[in-house]
Amino acid sequence: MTALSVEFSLKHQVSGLISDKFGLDEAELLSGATFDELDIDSLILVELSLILRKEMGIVLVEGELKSSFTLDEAVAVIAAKADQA
Amino acid sequence: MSRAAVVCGLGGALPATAVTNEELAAQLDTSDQWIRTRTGIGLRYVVAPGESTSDLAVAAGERALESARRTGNDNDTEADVDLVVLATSTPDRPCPGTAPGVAHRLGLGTVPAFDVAAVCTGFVYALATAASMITAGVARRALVIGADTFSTILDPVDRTTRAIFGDGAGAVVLRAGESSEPGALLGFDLGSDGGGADLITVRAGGSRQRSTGEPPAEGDQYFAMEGRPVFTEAVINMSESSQRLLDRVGWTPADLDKVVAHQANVRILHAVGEQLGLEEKQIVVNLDRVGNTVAASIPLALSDAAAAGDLVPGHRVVLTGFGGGLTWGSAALVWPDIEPVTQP
Repeated sequence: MTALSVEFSLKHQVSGLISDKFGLDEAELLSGATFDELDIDSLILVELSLILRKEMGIVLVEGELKSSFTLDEAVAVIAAKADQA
Repeated sequence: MSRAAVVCGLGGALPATAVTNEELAAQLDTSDQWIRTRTGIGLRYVVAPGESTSDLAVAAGERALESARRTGNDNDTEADVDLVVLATSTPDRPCPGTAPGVAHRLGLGTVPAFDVAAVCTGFVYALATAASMITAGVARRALVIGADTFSTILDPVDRTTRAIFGDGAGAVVLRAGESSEPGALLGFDLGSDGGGADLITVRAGGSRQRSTGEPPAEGDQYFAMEGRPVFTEAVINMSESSQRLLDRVGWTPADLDKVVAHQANVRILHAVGEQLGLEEKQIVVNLDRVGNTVAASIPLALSDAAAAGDLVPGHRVVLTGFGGGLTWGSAALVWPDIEPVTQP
C-alpha cells in the first residue's frame, strides 16, 4: 500500500474506533471539523490514546492529540507514531 | 496450605456533611452536568470544622471490629488486635503519626501502630504491610484503616479537585489463617515511580519548602493534580498491576467476579475495564455517592458493594489502586462471609 492509502485506512479505523467506543457520529468526525467543534471533551482524547495503545500498540505522549485537531490532523500524528512502532 | 492473612471484618465511616454538585456549582464555575460527565461523581462528604482524619479512622475502625465480632466463629478465638496500620496522606498533625492515637482511642492498649503514606494506593500498601507482618508471625490480628480528609488540603477555588475529592474512612480486620480459606489475601503486586512525583502533590509544608525559611509560594500549600497525565498513568498502572497479579494467582480477567479499583473517576474505572477486557458488571462503582476518598476509597467501595449484595461470599476479587508517588498496587482474594458495618 502507498503511504496515502495506509493513512486513509488508518483514518477509517480511528474514526470507527471513536464512534464505536464513544458513541459519536462517524460522518461528523469525517466532516473536517475539529474535536473542539464536535464538542469532544479532552478526556476522550486521553481515552482514545489508551485504546490505541492497547489495540494498535501506538504509544502517544500526553498532549500529542489536541482538541484543536481535525480527524486528519490526529491521524497524521497517529500514523507517524505507527511508523515508529 | 500456608499461613495467610484473612479478611474477617469490614467497616466504613463518612462525615455528616454532604456536598452536592449543585452546591459546588453555586460557589465555582462548574455544573452538575460538567462534574457528572467528566467524573461520574454526584456527591461527596466533608469533615466539620475541628473534625480530623483520626475521628473518621476511629469510627471506621470501631465498625470493622464490630463486623469481625459479628462474623467471628469458633476457629477465630484470637480476638485481640495486636497491630494497627493506618493509610493516610492527611494526618492529624505532621508529627507524630496518626495511628497510635487511633489505637489508643479504640482501647487497643499499647499495640504497634503506624501510618503508611502512599496517597490513593495507601490502603493496598497498608494491607500488604499488615498481611506480611501476619504471615511473618509478627502479628496475629491487625486493624488496617484507610482514612483521609482531602477537603482540608484542597484549593477552595480549584473546581476540579473540589468536585472530585471527598472525606471518609474504611477499615478491615485481618487475622492469621490459612491461604485456602475464603478471605485469605492470595497475593500482592506493588510498585512506584518517583519520576512522576510532581503529578499529584502538595508542594509546600514539607522539608523542601520549610528549609528555605520562606513562607510557601501562593497556592503551594494546597493539593495539586495534573488531571490528564494522571488519568493515563492511573489506567495503565492499575491495569498492568492487576494483570501481573492475575498471572501470579493463576486467574484470568474473565475469572473475576469483581474488580474493586480505586474510585478516582468513573471514566478511569471504565478505561481500566477496557484495558483488561472486563464487562461492566465486574467493575464496582460507588464514587457517584462519595467521590474520591483517597486511602478510604477501596474499603468504602467494598463496604458498599457487600452491603448492597453486589459482592458476595465466594466472589473472586481483585483490589487495585493508583495514587501520588506515583504508587500503585493490587491484591487478590476470594470474598469471605462477612457482614460490613457502616453505621454507628
